[in-house]
Amino acid sequence: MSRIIPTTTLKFRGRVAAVAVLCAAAFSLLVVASAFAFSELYANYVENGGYAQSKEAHTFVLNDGAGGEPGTIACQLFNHESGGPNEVTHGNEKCVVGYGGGKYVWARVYNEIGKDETVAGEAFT
Amino acid sequence: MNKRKYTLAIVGTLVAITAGAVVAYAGGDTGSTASPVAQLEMHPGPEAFLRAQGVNASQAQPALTLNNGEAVGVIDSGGVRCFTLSVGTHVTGACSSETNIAKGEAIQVHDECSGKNSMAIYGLAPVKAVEVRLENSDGTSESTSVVKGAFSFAGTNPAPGATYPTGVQWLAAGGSSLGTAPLPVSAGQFCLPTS
Repeated sequence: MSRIIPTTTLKFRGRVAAVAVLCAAAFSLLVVASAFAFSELYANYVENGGYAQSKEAHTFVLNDGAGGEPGTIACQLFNHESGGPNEVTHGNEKCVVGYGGGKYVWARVYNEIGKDETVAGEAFT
Repeated sequence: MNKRKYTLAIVGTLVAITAGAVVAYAGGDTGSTASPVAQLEMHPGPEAFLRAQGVNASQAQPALTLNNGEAVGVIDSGGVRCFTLSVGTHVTGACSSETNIAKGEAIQVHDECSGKNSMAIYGLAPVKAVEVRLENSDGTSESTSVVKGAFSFAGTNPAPGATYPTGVQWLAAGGSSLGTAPLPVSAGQFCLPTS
């Protein structure tokens, strides 16, 4: 004997299913995003010798740096502890520096272009 | 709204979300000539400089291991080559045209400035180079072989007033010079302050 389900119940079940699908999709996107953990994009227009710096120190592993025009720049991951990490990489227009020690470090990109210019960086945990 | 329209609306929304996420991550273009700053801003996330050229780190061929244990790989993307740098499971990198590789754009000078004072000079060499000669401020030099298009030198940070590396010379098979390129660092700049 077939069971008769009211139309209102079907609509309710459809909405529940739709919400469940959307929640699953949102969760999947969050999982994908979490694979990249934390990252910070930072930039500053500075004089030669100046730098752009991340807002906070994190357990950054990589720091990518870029200059606004041809010239040398430097990427840095460091903290203020005595004898603490201080990794520096110099490059032309682009630089990359890594730190695998797991400590909280700040990220910087130095302008070594020879004049005022924008430098930017993106650091990743 | 009937059930079919409702289902179509949900499916359409999911497709749009997925497509948007994929395009935002991939960058949606290849062979970018945008400035490096623009590349970072346009391709936020890991491997920004690689994705700006339409490549990713999984395409890298392992080439060298630096004196700090970090690994260097090479991606040949037809006219543009990229180096990758792996730190544990994290990977980044950058790309250059052959013209700019010859000018030394793909050279990185890494300094560990907190005790070990190690230095690694690495990067990409021009296609025809089989050897790279590192030239020092006192006129001395040392050479290394090119491996899969990449090279590296290991040393220590120059102390103030000491001899320091200034540039490289690209050498073809037989020892003929293919040109020179300066290092992206000057005397007294190798290590930077933490204050």
